[in-house]
Amino acid sequence: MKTPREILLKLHRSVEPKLDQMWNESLAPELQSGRAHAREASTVRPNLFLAAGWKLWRELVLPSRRIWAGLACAWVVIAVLNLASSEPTTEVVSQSKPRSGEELRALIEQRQMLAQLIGPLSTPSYIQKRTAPGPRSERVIQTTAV
Amino acid sequence: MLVVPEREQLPVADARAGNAEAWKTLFRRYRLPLYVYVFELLHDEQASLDLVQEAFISAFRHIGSLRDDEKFGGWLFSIAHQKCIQQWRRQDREAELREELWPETEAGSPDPLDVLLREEQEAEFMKLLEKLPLAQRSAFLLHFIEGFSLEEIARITGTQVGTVKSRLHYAKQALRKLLEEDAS
Repeated sequence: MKTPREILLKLHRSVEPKLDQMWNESLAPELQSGRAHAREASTVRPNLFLAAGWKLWRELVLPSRRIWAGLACAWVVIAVLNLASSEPTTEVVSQSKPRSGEELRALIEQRQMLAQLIGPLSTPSYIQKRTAPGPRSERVIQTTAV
Repeated sequence: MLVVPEREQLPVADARAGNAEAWKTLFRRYRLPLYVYVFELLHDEQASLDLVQEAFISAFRHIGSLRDDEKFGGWLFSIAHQKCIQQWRRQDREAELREELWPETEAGSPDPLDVLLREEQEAEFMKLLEKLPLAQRSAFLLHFIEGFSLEEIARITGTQVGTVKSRLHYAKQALRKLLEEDAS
């Protein structure tokens, strides 16, 4: 007396050698290659940043190293020029410090002399105060008179 | 009495860690039951061998997604079942027939079937298995080959537990009928 399981397994037991062959020829190598991939991935992961940096260096910098070197020189020159041109501005800043009392007095005297020689300056026409327009009815009369 | 393999200790954790010997042990444990299951659904030796191979390769690659090591068997059979469905879809054979033969029927008796068959009944049993609709055959094979529970079969085949119950019920009824006819 047998169970359905026993009957089914017995019926197909003849295929076992083929299944074993499948293991030896396909599955075991597949498993090994899979493990190799996993091992490779696990060793690569910690050095990911190093690898990325090296790749960037190799593919981005090295092929156009002359251009990068030229750009670097240009930036150095710009930086030097910038530093050199910034020195006079410090002098100007130092010059614009509050003047002494004597200087101020001399400046006032000069202005007074200039005013005596030239006379008082007339205010330009564009600064003159604008008069408010008159009533509308008067304007109409003026225009008719003209 | 229903004889099913006991829940043995399998080296699933070692297999997960990539141990080749552990995988070999798992292969030796499941190669034949898996083949029988697939063959009885496809009835094509070469296609069944290919499918068993594909199922194991998938298992190698996706063992990380298996949450419970004790459910390795069910998980492996579910991979094979999905591949069977893909095979059917590829071939697109008997598609209409399968649709007709996979009706949603009422739940049947969930009682385990105590079956022992005499040698002269074996051929009849195999004929009966051939006659069963694919869905019933699938549930029947999973139940009798590996002793999967209704919940496990439902998970493997992607159906409701009630549907599995009814499919098993009809399969068992057919088998009981065979045995009764033989006895009379």
